[in-house]
Amino acid sequence: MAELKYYLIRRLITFVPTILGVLLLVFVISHAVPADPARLWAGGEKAKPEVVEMIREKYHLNEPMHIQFYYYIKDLLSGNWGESPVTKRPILEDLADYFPATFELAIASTILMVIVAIPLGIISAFKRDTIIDHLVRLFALMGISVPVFWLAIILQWIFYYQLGILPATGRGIEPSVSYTGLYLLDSLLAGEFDKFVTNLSHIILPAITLAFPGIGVIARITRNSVLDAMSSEFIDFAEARGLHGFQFYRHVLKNAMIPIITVLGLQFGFLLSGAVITETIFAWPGIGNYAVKAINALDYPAIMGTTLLIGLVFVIVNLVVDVIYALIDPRIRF
Amino acid sequence: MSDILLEVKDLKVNFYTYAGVVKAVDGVSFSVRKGEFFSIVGETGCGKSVTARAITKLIKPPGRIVGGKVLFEGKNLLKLPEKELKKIRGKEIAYIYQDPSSALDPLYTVGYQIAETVAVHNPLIKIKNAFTKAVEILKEVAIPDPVKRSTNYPHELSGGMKQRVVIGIAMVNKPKLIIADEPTTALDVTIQAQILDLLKELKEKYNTTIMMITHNLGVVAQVSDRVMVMYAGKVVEIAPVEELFEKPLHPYTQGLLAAVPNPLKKVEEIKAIPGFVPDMINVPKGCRFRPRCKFATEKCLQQPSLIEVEKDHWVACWKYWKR
Repeated sequence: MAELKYYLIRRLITFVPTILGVLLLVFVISHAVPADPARLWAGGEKAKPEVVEMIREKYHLNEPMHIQFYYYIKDLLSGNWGESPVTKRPILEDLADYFPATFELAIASTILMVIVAIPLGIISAFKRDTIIDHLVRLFALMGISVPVFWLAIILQWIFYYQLGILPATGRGIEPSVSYTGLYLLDSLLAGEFDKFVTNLSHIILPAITLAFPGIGVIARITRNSVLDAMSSEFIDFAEARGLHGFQFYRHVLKNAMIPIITVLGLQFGFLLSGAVITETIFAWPGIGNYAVKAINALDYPAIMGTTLLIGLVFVIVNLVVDVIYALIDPRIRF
Repeated sequence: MSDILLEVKDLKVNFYTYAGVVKAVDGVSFSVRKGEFFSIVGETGCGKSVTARAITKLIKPPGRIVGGKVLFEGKNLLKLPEKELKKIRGKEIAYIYQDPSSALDPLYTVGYQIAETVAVHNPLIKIKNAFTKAVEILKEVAIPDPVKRSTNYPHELSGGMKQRVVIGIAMVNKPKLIIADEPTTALDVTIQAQILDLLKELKEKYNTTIMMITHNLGVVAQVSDRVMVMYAGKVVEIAPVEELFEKPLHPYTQGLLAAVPNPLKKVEEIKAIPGFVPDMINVPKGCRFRPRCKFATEKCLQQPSLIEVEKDHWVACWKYWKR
């Protein structure tokens, strides 16, 4: 296990330049856009030159790029991610409001993916080339090909409009206390089970919509990696040793895990970066929704903040995936 | 007859490929006696590995056992339900596979893999408690520092050590028969000798029986008691080892031995057997060696069966049939 510790430390060190890269990219992109933010915030075309100049001074916009970058990093580290000229609130507060909604939705759809796609993929592999396998593969193909907006609307039409059993939009009722910002968890922690049920009913449709394409991808990957593992020599040898039942299948499944974890991590990263279409259709107050509003309003601090957050989320998810790799496969620990 | 441990009768294994049916093993019969070191030699693709795996029904699609009997202590293994076979594999009949690098699961420690092989055949033993057994067996197969080594993953061991682990896995349940499928092929020449010595030593110690598959005649000469030669899915000759090397009867065996350089003589020329191994989908009619055989006659268009020319020396060739 000693090498696992060193691996973690090494991996954490490489984490730093990646984050720096993300910061630099966000910074450069924000400066590459042609609009003049100072003039915009001062009130647009009719702004007084003194006011524009004052804003330039305040935000160091007259300084050279590297000095500006220094101020950017310094402010970020001290928790000042800027203030949105649109919402008139600090960006970090806005993000703290919107991100938990996305996080909650991402977790819900990832759980759905795992409990649906992985068993399907495993069954498909073990029943290879039977009718069950074909059905699963057809289902996976559907998952990959169905457009999200269509699926979202059809689900709303069936479950809200026709059956009237699930709400079409929104996130539900806010629990009276906010420990995590995740409505489901908070309402459970506060003991408000009626709110929990309401919030659960709200998350079902967007979670299914988001999970559906992922289910297709993961079911396929699972099937292929299980088949791959089954065809390896050590599985033949495991059989020749007389292993059976759980003893036998744990060798197959553990070896099939790596590709599944990879794809699952990527999917989770994408979900966390906000599913713009899904969040819009279901009026889900998540980060995707926020980003769209910010872009429409040319709200640069908000755009930069959101981009940075999404970048960070991706890097962190990757880090977690790498750690899981190392836990599964001892060969990766070196 | 009581000294016979394993008797294979008229075993037939086919592989159903897109190009056609491959009769990989076509009517193979032989028996292995208790306590002997029995070797099967032949070129790649002659069906020796398939024969070995068919003994406990380890043939996977597109392959299928289409006929014959495998009598192990009187029981026909091919008729046993899968559940019973699982109890025999790794317990009564253990395998050693060719490439130790791919035979061990890379994600589990070698100690665990030995321990689970013990536990799966002894419902009273938990894997955790079988680790002492794993350390014992690692010591038995001469792995230095077995306590520490048992916590190593396969990739942390050398090829030779991994093969020792695989042998340990095979030995750990004290099987009656060990089927070693090319146990030295993937190893360095220097390690090969050590592994063969280890196999022989353990065989004496545990009083077990070994059936070894190889294409290496040097390996055969070193360890075997009796040898069976296969060619294109058929048995061509079975003989005690000295007898086979001194007085090979089948033209194929003769050609095979002539093709191996003798280290004691100056090598003038290595005599290759003319022609090629037959296409296994369209095998030649009659004796399968006929197209390459310089003694071939009209008679060879019919398949000769094995006859005992001298005591214990069987050959499938019309040359030795008294007409």
